[in-house]
Amino acid sequence: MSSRSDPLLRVENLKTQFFTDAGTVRAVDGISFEVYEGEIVGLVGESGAGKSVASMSLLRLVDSPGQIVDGEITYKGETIFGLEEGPDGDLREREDMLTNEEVRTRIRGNEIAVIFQDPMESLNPVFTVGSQLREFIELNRDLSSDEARREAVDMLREVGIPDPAERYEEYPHQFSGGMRQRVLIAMALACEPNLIIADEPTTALDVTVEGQIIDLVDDLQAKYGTSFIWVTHDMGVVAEICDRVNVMYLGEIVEQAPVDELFYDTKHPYTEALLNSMPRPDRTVAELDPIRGVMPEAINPPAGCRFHPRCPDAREACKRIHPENREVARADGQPHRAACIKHDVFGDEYEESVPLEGRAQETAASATDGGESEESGVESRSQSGNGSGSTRKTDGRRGGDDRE
Amino acid sequence: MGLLRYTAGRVVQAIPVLIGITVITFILANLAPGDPVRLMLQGQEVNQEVIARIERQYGLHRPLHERYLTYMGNVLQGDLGHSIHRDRPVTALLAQRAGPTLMLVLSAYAFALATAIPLGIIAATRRNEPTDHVSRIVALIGVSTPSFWIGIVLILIFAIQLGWLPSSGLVYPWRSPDQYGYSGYPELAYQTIRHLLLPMIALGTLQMATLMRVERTQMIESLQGEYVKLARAYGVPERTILRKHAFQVAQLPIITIIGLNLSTALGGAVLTEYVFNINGIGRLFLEAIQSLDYQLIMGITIVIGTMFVVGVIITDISYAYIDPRVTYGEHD
Amino acid sequence: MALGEAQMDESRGPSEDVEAEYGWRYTFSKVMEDTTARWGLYVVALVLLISTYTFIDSNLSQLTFGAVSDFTFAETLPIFDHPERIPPPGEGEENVPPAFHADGSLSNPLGTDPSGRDYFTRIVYGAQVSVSVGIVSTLIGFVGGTIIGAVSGFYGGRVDDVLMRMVETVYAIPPLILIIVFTVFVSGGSPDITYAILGVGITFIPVFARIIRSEVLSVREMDYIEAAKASGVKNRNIIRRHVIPNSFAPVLVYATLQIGVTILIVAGLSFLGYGAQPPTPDWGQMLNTSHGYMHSNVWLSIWPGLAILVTIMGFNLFGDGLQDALDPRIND
Repeated sequence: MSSRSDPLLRVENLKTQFFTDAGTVRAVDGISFEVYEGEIVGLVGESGAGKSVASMSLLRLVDSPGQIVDGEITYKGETIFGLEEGPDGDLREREDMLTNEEVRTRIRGNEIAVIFQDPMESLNPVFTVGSQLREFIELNRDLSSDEARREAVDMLREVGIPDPAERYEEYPHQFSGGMRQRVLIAMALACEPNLIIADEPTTALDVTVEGQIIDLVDDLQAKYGTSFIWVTHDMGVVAEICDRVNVMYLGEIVEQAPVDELFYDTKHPYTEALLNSMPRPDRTVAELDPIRGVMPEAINPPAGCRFHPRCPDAREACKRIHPENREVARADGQPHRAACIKHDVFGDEYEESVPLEGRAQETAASATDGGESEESGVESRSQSGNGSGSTRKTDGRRGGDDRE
Repeated sequence: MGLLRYTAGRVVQAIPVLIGITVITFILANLAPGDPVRLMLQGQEVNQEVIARIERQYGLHRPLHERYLTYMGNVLQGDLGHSIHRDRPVTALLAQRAGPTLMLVLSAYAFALATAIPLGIIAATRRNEPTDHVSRIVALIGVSTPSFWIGIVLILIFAIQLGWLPSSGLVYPWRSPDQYGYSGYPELAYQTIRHLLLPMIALGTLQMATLMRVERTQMIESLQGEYVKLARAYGVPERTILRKHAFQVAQLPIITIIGLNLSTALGGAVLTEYVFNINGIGRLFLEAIQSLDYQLIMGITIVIGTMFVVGVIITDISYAYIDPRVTYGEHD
Repeated sequence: MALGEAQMDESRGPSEDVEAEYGWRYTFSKVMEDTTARWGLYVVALVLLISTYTFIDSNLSQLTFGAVSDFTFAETLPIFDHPERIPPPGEGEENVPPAFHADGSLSNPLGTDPSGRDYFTRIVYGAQVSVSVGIVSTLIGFVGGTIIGAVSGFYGGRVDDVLMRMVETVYAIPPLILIIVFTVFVSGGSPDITYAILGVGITFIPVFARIIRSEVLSVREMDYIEAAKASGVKNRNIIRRHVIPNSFAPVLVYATLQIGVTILIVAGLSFLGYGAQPPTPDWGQMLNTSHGYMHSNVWLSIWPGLAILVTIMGFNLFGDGLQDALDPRIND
């Protein structure tokens, strides 16, 4: 963990929306988080939670009809995105906000690089792997063509590609999925950025390959000290690699905590549900608790807490109150934030409100028999603000305890 | 290495097709109701002796398969037979007429590519904007209009009404200016272009329209590719993405289309040559059909079919050259 | 994209609602939503209506009146003359310009042709030939192609190889040239529209065969076919419920667009004199006649071309709309 000085990247109240015929999709709806130097920050959630849109917003690379509509993104003191109120009361872009050209030349690639989800499609099929690497290195590091070439070969070796000089001349289709992902990692690292956004980089890979890639990133991250934003839906991966975690649900961050805190002292029912739906060696499939229902469309999110229609702990008040992310605990001097009104800092509305119809029974039942009820998503526990109840041990899919 | 093997494979694959072309032509020409001799003579009153003599001369008394083998043997030696009506070897007639047709078809392609690719790219990048709509309408009219009617309209406007350009014939740049009575090579070049302009546009419009549509769709698809997203994320300028990253991938289908469209282009050349009075293979074909000069018809069909096959092979090879996946058998 | 299936089977549960969205009615409403596709549909409907009417009219009158076969009901309307009968001297005037011209008159809105026949009537009656040729020959190609393509795709291996080589062979000769050769030789030197229809149909069998084959091949590989097989659905039912509906949509789109191509080719054929023969009113054939009057009466060359353009554009717009409705992936 680095010192808590100024963060490398600060995102505040970021809102990205898609203006479609069917209505406005609020893909990212007011998220705030920081990334400090040298840490790996997880961005976790189901598909459609807005993770990828959020990470692309950081580079101002949102495809039409999407648009960043509000919030502030600051990177190393430079404003990647920022709005202010104009004289006519309308929001307008701030003076110090980087222009498109500046974002392209100064941020993308050389400060913030990306590793995409699909290694099969991310490389251009008609150019050699080497020429693509070289192009990006040349562009982002002001190296001559020869130097960039040498750097590219070195980097291919660094990410564990055998015979890098020969493979440099080969085309993407001659590489396996895992090897292509290594190429993409080499690409990101070779540009020497301070921050790498890894957008579900292992989702498309085999489990064994996934493990290798994660180990590789872990090693290289230690070596280069690069910060990462690791976007994933896999809690196992989070446990293995992340320092701090942001859990996203329907465009919002619902829980934010250091990784151990998140796993051992979960504060949001959604995170809880995610953890319970994760396959673990100490449980059989029958004991898995899938999250009930599907995530609603971001085009018309539920009123109140967005998770309440699926939440086993939901009460009447949850339909009314839309909780923001508040600090509910502190661990190692770092805040643990959650957006759930069952915590004391949100007042006592939750306590006074009645459980939602149809859920009272389950909640009661699960409280007694330890969460065996079939419909409920999450085993419930006595909800005191500090939530000291559960002492779940979390195993990553590949043995989270063994991570370096 | 892989490319060489691919080329060889492609040529080998083409052999049955080339044989097939000769078979089809031969069957069509010989299984016609009524015998070829009477067709050739077109109802002229001749006695049996004359017919028998002609039959012997052309070996028509022998069974079909034997005749085919003889014919094929000659074809392989570069002999496409003898035109009865013109009393000249078919190959000589074709050689004489090939220049104008090639000139016409190639210039039409050049015109089509030079207009279709920029327009297609512009349409793709300004999707659903007025520019896009206009280019789509142009493309739609292009694919919906008969090429010969475009020729007619062009003649009506530019030759008859405005009198700017000639309406018939071509000037061949490989001849000497004296043959036309021109002052020198500059005038020869000028006249060549003047004569070529209208037929080129008439024949090229359909190609342009088809290519433009394909280019637009391909560019739209290519611009949505993950590799474009990656290039953007690494700060590659939008212009480079358009011209290099997206374009290179979008070109692949265009190359295939160019090859396959050679068929419509060669067919269209028949009509264009007819409308503009150009003495190419197309006109020769129509003349041969009119006089039922069946050796000549067979010769032309085989040559045009071969031109198409060769054209497709060339485009396939250039495709393989640009798309590395083909030679490794990973594509398709 | 299970075309029409959902509507046929009402008993299915709500879980199949997604499929229901892709029924005929859904497709139709999607086409109607798109302004250009809607206009395409209107044009196609209008042309179909006109040709049906003129078809019934000319055939009914022949049935009813036997000897007076050159009478049509349309004639009784003030705007129509007889499309084929050349007026005796003194009755009709030759080369009357269109009505908007100073010398024109409303009784011949588009003027008269060199034989004194009303051009408007001939243009209207010309739809019949174009449309029937387009539809009938596309149908021949469609049916023939479905059989060959399905067999080829189903059996694969050697059968597939041989059939595909044959298909490539026919593909290699430009359609216009192949059709002219076919028409002239098979008709024994006296071509007419029937041979042209047959020739066009047969020539396009390979094109359809190719598409259907690749559709069958790709559908065969689909996960839902695997799933159906795995869950024990009978082969026959798989083909009926999955393979046919899923391969059918692209082929239907293709056929719609192919009608336009066919009309284009037959127009060229008639223009060269190898399609419809005079006095049958046909657009291509009318352009052939008017070719000699380009200097004296420009409009004779304009109207039939415009008619062809509008008709083909109608089919193309409708086909494009259909494609978008069935496959919303690429276009908007």
